Amino acid sequence: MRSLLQALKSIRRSPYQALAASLVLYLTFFIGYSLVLFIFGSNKVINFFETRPQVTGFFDQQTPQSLLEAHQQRLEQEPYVQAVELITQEEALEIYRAQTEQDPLLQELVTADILPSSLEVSTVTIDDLAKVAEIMQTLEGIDEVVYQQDVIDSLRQWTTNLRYVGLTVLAIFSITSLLVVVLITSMRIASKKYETKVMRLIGATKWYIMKPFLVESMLYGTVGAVLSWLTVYILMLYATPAIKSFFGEIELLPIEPSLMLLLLAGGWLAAIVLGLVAGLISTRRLFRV
Amino acid sequence: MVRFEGVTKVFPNGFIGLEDISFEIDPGSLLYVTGESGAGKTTLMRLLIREILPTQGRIYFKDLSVADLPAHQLPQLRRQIGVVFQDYQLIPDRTIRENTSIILEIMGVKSDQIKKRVSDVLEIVGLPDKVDLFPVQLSGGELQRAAIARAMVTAPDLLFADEPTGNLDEETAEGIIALLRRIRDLGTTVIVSTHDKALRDKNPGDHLELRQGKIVNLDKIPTDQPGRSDGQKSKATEKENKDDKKSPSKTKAPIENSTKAK
Repeated sequence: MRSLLQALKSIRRSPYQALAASLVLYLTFFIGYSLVLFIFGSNKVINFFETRPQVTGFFDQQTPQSLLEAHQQRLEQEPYVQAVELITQEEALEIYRAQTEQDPLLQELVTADILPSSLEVSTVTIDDLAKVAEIMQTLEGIDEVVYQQDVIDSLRQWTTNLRYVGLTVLAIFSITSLLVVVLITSMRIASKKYETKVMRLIGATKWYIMKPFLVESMLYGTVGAVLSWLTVYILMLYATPAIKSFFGEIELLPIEPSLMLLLLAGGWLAAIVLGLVAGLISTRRLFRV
Repeated sequence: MVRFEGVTKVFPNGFIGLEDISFEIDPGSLLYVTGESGAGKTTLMRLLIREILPTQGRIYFKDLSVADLPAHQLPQLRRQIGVVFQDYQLIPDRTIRENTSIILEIMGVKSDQIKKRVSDVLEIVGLPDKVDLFPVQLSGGELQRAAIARAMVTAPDLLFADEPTGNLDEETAEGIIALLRRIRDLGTTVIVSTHDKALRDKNPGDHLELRQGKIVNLDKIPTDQPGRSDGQKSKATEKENKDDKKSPSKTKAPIENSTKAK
C-alpha cells in the first residue's frame, strides 16, 4: 500500500512523464489487442471457407440419379471427407432461379435438363482438397471438377503475412515501450538519488527501495493495457454493423464477452510483466555503486 | 560493543583515511572522537556502517565482523546503529514526522506504534511542535535534533553523531551535547565526533583523538565511576598503551587498546 501511494505521489508530481509512458504502452497494447482480434477473425474466415463445399464435381446431364448417389456414398466413406451434398438438376434449377430472380427473361430460357447435377464435397482440412478432386476426376459421368483451393491459399497467405507484419510491429512497439518505461523510471530514480542513498544508509533493504519504482512501472502498464482494451472494445462495437455487412454470412461478431475479458486479463498480465521488467532494469542501476 | 583491530582505510585516490587503528568501546560509553577536518572521524563512521570497507584490519560490532556480513544482513546492522550525519541527511520533501518514521516503516512497525514512538522521540529532542514542517523550514539546531530523533527512534544499540555541533552556536551546541548525554543515560552507547576539542573538554566522557588517520590520544574513564561521566581520567598514548599491557593492576577501561604497538 505504501509503495502504491508513493508511486501515485510520484506520478502526480511528474504527470507528463507518466502520460508519455502510459501513451506509448497504450499504443502497444492497442496494436496487441487488434492483432489478437485480427488473428481470431482471420481464423474464423478461413475456417468458414474450409468447412464449406470446396470441391464441386459437375456431371453430364445424362448421368442417372442412382449413379450420382453411388458416387456420393463412395466419397462419404473417405476419412478426410466431412460432408457430401448431391445437387440434382431440379435443385440446380432452383438455385439458378433464386440467383436470377431479378431477371425473369433469363429464367424463361433455362430448364432443368440443361443444368448439370453436381456433388459438393467439404473436407476435414484444406490439404485434402486435392485428393478429393483427384478421386472425382475418375468418377464415371464426371464433366468438370472445380475447387477453391487457390482462393483459400491466397487468403491464408495474406493472413499469414499480416500476422507477421503485426507481430513485427508489436515487437517494435513492445521494445519501444520497455525503453520508454526504463527511461522514465530511471529519471525518477535519478531524481530520488539522495533519498535512496539516505534510505540505504539508515537500513532500508533493496526491495523496500525498489518497490515503489516497480509499482510505478506496473501502473503505467496497467493504465495502457486497460485504456487500450476499452478503446478496442468501443471501436469494435461501433464498427459491428459495417463488419457484419462486409463479411455477410461469416459470423465474426459479436465476440463473446468471455473472450474479451480473457483478452483484458492477458493484456493486464503482459502489462505487469512489461512494467516489472522495465522497473527491474532501471532499479538494477540503483545498487551498482 | 565496537572493536577496531588494526584498521586501515586507503581511498582509491591514495588518501589514507585511517591508518592501523585499534580500540574498543564498551556498552554504555559516551565516546568523543576529536580531530581536525580530514583526521578520519567520518571515515570511522562510514566504516562502522559499512558504507565503505577497510583496506586492512577488522571491525567488530557486537562481535560480528562488519566487513564479513553478507549483503542481506547489512540493513539489520545499519538499523542497530543510529547515525546522525554531519549534513543531517534528512529527506527534503518529507516532513519531520515522515523523516523520523521512515526507518520504522522500513522495519515494518505497525502504524499506530510508529505514531507513538515518533511522538515520544520528537518530544525527547524537543521538537513536538515541528512535526509537520519540512527540513527547509527548520533552523540548524532543529535540523540536528530532527536528525538525532531519526537516529534514536529505533532505540539503537549505538548512536554515532558525526559533527553534531558543527554549524551551531555555542548554546545550541551545548543543548545538543546535553541531549546526547541524556540518550547515553537511557542506555545507548554514544559516539560523538567533533573537531571542537573545547566542547569535549567541557563535557566528560571517553576521548579518542585522531590526527591524519592515526590515534594520537586516548582518554578513558574507569568503569567504577558512577555514570562514567566525570571520573578520574587516565591518558593512554600509543606508548602508554604498551605500558598498560605490562601493568595489569590498572583499572579496566571502556576503551581498552589504543593504537597497536608497533
